Amino acid sequence: MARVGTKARIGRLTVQERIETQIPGLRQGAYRITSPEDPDYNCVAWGLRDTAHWWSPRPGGTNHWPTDVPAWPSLTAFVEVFEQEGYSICDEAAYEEGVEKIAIFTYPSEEPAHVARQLKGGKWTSKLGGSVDIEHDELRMVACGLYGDVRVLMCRARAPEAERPTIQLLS
Amino acid sequence: MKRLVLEPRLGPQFSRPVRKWAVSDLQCGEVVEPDWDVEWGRIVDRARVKEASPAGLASVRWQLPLAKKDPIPVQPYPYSPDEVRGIFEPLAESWEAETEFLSMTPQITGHPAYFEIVGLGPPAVPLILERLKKSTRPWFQALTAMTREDPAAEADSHSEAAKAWLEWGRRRGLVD
Repeated sequence: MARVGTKARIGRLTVQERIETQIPGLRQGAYRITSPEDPDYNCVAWGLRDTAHWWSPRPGGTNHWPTDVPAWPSLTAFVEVFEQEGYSICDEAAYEEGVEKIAIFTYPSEEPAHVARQLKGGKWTSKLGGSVDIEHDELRMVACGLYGDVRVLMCRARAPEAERPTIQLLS
Repeated sequence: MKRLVLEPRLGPQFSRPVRKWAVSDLQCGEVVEPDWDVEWGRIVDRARVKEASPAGLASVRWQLPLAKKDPIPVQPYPYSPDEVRGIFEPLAESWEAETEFLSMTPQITGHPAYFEIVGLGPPAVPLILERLKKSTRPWFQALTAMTREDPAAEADSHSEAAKAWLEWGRRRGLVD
């Protein structure tokens, strides 16, 4: 019960404080919140520039997942989803003009936990569950216990940018 | 020492107290002893091999102590509405806080607090709907498990699913 009480106190923090509590790597560099909270899409969707669906490998319900990809939370299935969208596996996270990159984070078990997308100019953007989008300088800033570590990088030709305008920090 | 490889095979009726198990390295008519080495599962009572196939597989009628009474007696719901709320609120806060930034549905709905809330059963449904009204979180699988209904089956997004569940709750007077 003590653990529940401690975690429950997180709910009274601002969204920024809650983010930094759970993803402490963001304190190590610059980041900003770039959207209001939106429960309708997640990091996988944001990686694919889809803000209307919650992409997750679980059949039924409100989860969106290609019918020809195994509905199982495996790295292979995630790679297949992004391959269907024109991505292929690459080695370097460094920014390259004309190339759009995503990073798939996994836990040590290789179960995917997060996807981040590289923005034009080299910064990265992450959708934090059903909460906000953030822009962060470095990929490693969101690598921590919550999301595991970067396991696979994938690249495709960059589509024209249509990023959202910056908004005020939410509290 | 005999070696058993057990694989649960529920009988034709789920609620029956006797379950069938696939057992290898046994001969027809042998009695399963409690001290035998078990690779999967556990021996809880003596059982006798009823059939043995040419491949060496056998089925055993197995009496589980939990299921000695048939049917399992239905207990009255043990909590008052206030007690349900007292149990529910810390669990819900914990689940919402610890899964807020997770994106993978299996990780979100696999949280231990989520299971505990589902275990509270229908009396916790109005409390979930109250929370759903304030914040759209993926309570939908819990609600379906607790009510055996799915008014959000056609929903394409979490917002649509929340709306469908709140309408369902309003029609039943479970939420304002």
